[in-house]
Order: sequence, then structure tokens, then C-alpha cells
Amino acid sequence: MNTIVQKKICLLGDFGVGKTSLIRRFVEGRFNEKYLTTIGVNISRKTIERSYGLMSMLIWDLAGSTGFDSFTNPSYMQGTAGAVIVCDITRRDTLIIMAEYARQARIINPKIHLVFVCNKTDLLDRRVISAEDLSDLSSTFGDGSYFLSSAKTGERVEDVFSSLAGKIDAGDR
Amino acid sequence: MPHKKQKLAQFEARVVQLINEWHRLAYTYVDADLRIAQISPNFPSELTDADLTRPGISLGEAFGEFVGMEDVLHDILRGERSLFQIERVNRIQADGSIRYLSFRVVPLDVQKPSAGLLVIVEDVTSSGLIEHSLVQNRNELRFVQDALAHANADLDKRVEQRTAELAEAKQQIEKQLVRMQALRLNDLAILGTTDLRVALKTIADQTRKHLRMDVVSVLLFNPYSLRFENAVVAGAQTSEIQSAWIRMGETVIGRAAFERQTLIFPDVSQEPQLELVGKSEGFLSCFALPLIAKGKIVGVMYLGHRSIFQPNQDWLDFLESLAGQAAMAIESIKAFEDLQRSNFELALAYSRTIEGWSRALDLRDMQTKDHTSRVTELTLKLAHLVGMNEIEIMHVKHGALLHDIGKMGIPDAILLKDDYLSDEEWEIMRRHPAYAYEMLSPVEYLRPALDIPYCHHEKWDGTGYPRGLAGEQIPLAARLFAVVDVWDALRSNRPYRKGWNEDQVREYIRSQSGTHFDPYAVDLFLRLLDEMDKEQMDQRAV
Repeated sequence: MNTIVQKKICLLGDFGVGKTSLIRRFVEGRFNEKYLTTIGVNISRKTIERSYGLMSMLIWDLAGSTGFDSFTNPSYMQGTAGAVIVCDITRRDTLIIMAEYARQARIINPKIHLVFVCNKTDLLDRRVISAEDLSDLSSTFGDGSYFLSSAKTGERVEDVFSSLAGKIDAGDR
Repeated sequence: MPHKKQKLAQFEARVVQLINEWHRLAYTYVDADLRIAQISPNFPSELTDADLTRPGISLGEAFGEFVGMEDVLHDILRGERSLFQIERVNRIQADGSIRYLSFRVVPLDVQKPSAGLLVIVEDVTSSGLIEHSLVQNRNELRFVQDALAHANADLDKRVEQRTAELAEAKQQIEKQLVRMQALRLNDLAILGTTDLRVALKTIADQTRKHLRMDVVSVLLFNPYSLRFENAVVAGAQTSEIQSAWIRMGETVIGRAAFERQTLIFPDVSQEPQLELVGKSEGFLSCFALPLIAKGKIVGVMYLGHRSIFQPNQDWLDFLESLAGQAAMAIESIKAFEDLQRSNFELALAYSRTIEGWSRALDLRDMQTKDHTSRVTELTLKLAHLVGMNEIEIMHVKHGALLHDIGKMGIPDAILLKDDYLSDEEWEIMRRHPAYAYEMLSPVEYLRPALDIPYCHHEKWDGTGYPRGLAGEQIPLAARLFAVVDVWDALRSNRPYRKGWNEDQVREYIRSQSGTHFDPYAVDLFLRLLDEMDKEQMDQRAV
């Protein structure tokens, strides 16, 4: 019989960076061009295979920030094993918000596993966030790694979540 | 009392029922082990996929929102926390619509929190949809603002770029304008002078100024010595270039001409074999351009700089233009000088021819020996007195020298006759002015000189010949000459009479004023004679 572990993970980031789209692409394998904002929380489930069995991910899609003063309710982060923090490659201010989310996540839960994602690489011609910027941020709050993804094309979306799962697994060991 | 208590209980139950209905509230009771013990009858089953009636089902199994929240819930059970709530939990319905729920967890018994938890679920879809709509609009507005900010930034960047391009273009235009003015100045210098050195000096100065060179010189090619000789130099501090005398093919200057190409040496220290001209000037870079006009080498333009100078294409193009002007100046001014020399030689040839004809006439008509030179000299004095210019005086001179050229057509029997002429002979003799006209008018150079040969026998009162002109119809030169001619003729001996004395002649001349002669010409001539007499007397006295 397979071992099933249930893990709560959160997606954090400024409004409109594509958190809901990343989850939809990951969970349902679909993408919708139309922007639909999220208020409150929307929880999705996705079970992925691991070496030891299965990991059931409870993915919390939290409403994007509208500034630092409206950061996610700290209670929502309770029991969170890991977080995917997302920014938009075409909007430089989302990188600054990303850093703030990472800082606050570390304060609420110093052991939280973080994965940094720069989304919307399908709009690379409008890129305003450099690899160096992302590397610097990730080095400050994580292991220096980051993903360039596109929920639209599906580029590296699976890798994002499997990377986080790997970090959670490694932490559990 | 029991009845009263029963009534109150009924009342409270009714209130709870109404609150539940109005606020769409449902609840579930959770025991100290966080397992669902009881659910309210109105609890909407579609809120979870789990079977809430299964005995021992945990809160986390029923609602994923509580997975990982065990610590918080135990805080409430221990009385360390009185409330935990999750706002706006999304539930996607089968039709795709969203239902918003609010979960509140409180102790069942405030006095004994460990007894269990009450989980109240409120359907807040109405307010949630309103909030969603507001947030959606706000975020979309921010997207638009972002897009506008991007567009503005892009526009600013383009404006900045365009402004820089325009500034660069303006600078280029101004530079071109200055250069065009320099070229124009050179053109004016070439057109405005026949002195080659003046034109070349202007070009050398302009070249030095606009190409920022220390020294600019123009050397002319001497086709006889096959050497280049300095014509002008601007900015030189020594005489080395001034005295340059360079063979074709030798030194940087002679090489440029021999190879017919511009020689560029931005750093002469890198060219140990270079035969530099201007060592004494301290040149560190130099440039030599052959000046070619109509395929022929006419000179060399030579530029020197006392520091290393790497020219760009723009600089070289302008230099080529200036060198082209120098070549054009040399070509056009030399051509003008050649033409001027040819004209001078032609005029000299005409003059000598006319004098030859005049001498031939004098030789033929021995009776009037030296008559022509005398009358010419006096007529020229009168022409000066009346204010004729140099060109007019030259024509007067030619006319006076050739005044009797028409006599070439008169037979010797009449011209050299020692006796009075018969009427018929006079008739023939009077044709000589017309003959003069026929002889000279086809010669363009001599046509302006015809006034005297053709009209010197006309009379003021209109009784003269050949056309019977009167007064000012008679050209002034002819009117002046007529007085002098008669004066000299009357003083001379003729075969048929003795020459008159001076007083008789003057009296006669005076008497003919207003009939034969122009009174003004008579007055002028007599005054001239008086002045000449006075001068002679003065000379004698000295």
C-alpha cells in the first residue's frame, strides 16, 4: 500500500502575477487568457508521485497583495510546508513585492520551504526583471535558485511544484 | 414560572432559527479530538465531498481548509484563543460560479473550552461577489495603469532617442552649413579675382580653419621645370614649405602627384621611410592631395598637423571638396590669364598693323609726310581734354592713324597730282571716307575706330561729305580730328601753294567755328595750342 502524505502549500505574490493560472495549469492542465482575480482563498488538491509513495498537495491560492499593508493573514500560513512565491517578468514592482512575501513568510515560519518563480516568460520581449535580480533575491531568502515559467505555455510549471515537493521531502528527512 | 421559561426557550429558538435563515448559517460540533460530532440540519452537503455523517470523520478530512491548522484549534480548546476564522473560502460550483464561505471556530462552552468546538459556516457569496467585482475592477485598472506607464516610459525613451537623433542631425546640418559657407567663400574668391594667389590663399585659410590643421599649402606644378613650387602657405612658422621646390615623384608631395592619390599619414612616426615635407614645422601627421584639372596634374594641396591626427571619412570628404576647388581655381584663373595674354598680344598685333598701314599711307602720300603722327598726337590730347576713357582714346588713336586709309582706293594720278583737282577728280577724291568705311567696318576690332576715317570731312553746318551730317550728328572724335586735320594741312606746303603761317591758320580755324567746325572743338583746340606755346616758351626760358 502506497504511503500518502498530505502537505499544505501556498502560492504568494502580487496581484496578477499568475498564481491562479499556475495552479490551474498544474492541477487541471488548462490555461485561460481572461484575468480573473482571486479574493480570499481557493484550495485545490493535486496528488503527485514521490519515491516513497504519494504526496497530496493542498494548494492554497491566496489573494494577491495590493501592497505590503494587505499581506496575507498570518494564520493562513499556519501548517504550511512550503510556498511558491511568484512575480511577473514584465512588471518590476512585482519583484519587490516578491521579496516582501519571502521576508514575511520567513518571519511567520522560519522553516518554510520556498520556491521563487518568475512567470509569463511567453512575454519575454517585455522582460524587465533580469536573471541577476532573481538570483540575488533567491540567494537572500533561499538557495539561490529560481524558475522562469509560463502558465500559458506550461513551461516549467510541473518543475516548480516538483521542486517544492522535493524540498519538503528533503526537509522531512 | 415553568410556563414563562418555556415561552422564553421557544422565543430564543425562534430567534436562532431566524438568524440561521437570514444569515445562511450552518454549524457543526467538533469534539476535543477534532472529530465531527454533530452537524446542523441545514448544513449544505455540497460544501464538501466528504461524508459528514461517517462516524469519527475529522474536521481536516471534511474541510481541507483545516489541514495543518490543528495547532490553532488546540489553542482554542486550551482556552488560549477564543476565535479562529477563515474568510472568503472559495467553492467552485458545478456551473463554474463561485460560492464564498466564511468559517468561524469558537469554543462550544466558553467556561469549559476543552469540551469541544463549534464551527460556524456562513455563506457570504453576496458580499463576496461584490468584493470580487470591486477587486477585479481595481486590479484591471492597475493593469491599465501599468500598461500606460510602460507606454509612457517607452514614449519618453523614444522621445529622448529622437531628441538625441535630432540634436545630432542639427549638429551635422550646422557643420555642413559651415562647410558650405566655406566652400561658397572659396567660390566667391575664385570668381572675384583674377589673381591666382589671392584665390588659393583664401582656400588655404578656409581649409586650415575648418579642418583644424596647423599648416596648409598649395603648390603649383611647373610643366617646364617638372617641379612643384609653393604658391601659398597658411600657418607656417618656418620657410621650409615656402621655399619648397619638389620634383614629381619625390617626397610626400611629389608622390601624391605621381601616384594621383591622396596620401594620408596620421602618425608620421610610424612611417620611417616617409620623405616628410615640414620637418622644421614639427609635423606629426600630414596629408597630400593631387590637384587634378581636366585630367592634368596642376598642383598639390599639402596639410600638416603638429600632433597625431586620425581623420574620419567626413573630414576626408570635405578635404577632397576643398582640393577640388583649389584645382578649379588654378585651372580657371590660369585659363583666364592665358586668354588675357592672348588678347593683349592680339591688341598689340592690331596696333602694330595699324601703325604699319599708317606709315604705308604716309609713304604713298609724300606730300603729307609725318602728317598722320602729328594729327594723331594732337587729337589724342584733345580726347584726353574732353574726358574720354582709355578704350575710347585707343579707338580715337586707331581712327586718327587710319583717317586717310580710304585714300588707298584713290588712284595715284589723283592722289599724287601736283595741280588742282578737276571736279571729277574731286568727286573721286571725296569717296575716300566711304572707302575707309568699306575697308574697316568688316574688321570688328576696328569698327569703333571708324568715326574719324568715315566722318572727318563732315562739317558742322552739314555741308561736308560723305553723308552731310550736321552738328552733334557728327561723332565727337571726328569733330575734334577735323579741326586738327585742317590746321595741320594749312600749315603744310603743298605743290600748288605754300604753307600758311601760324597766325593765319589760327585765324582761319577761328573763322570756321560754327560753319566748318564745332565751336567747342575750335575753342578747345586753340586753347590747347596756346598752352603748348606757353610750355615751349617756358622750356626755352629754362
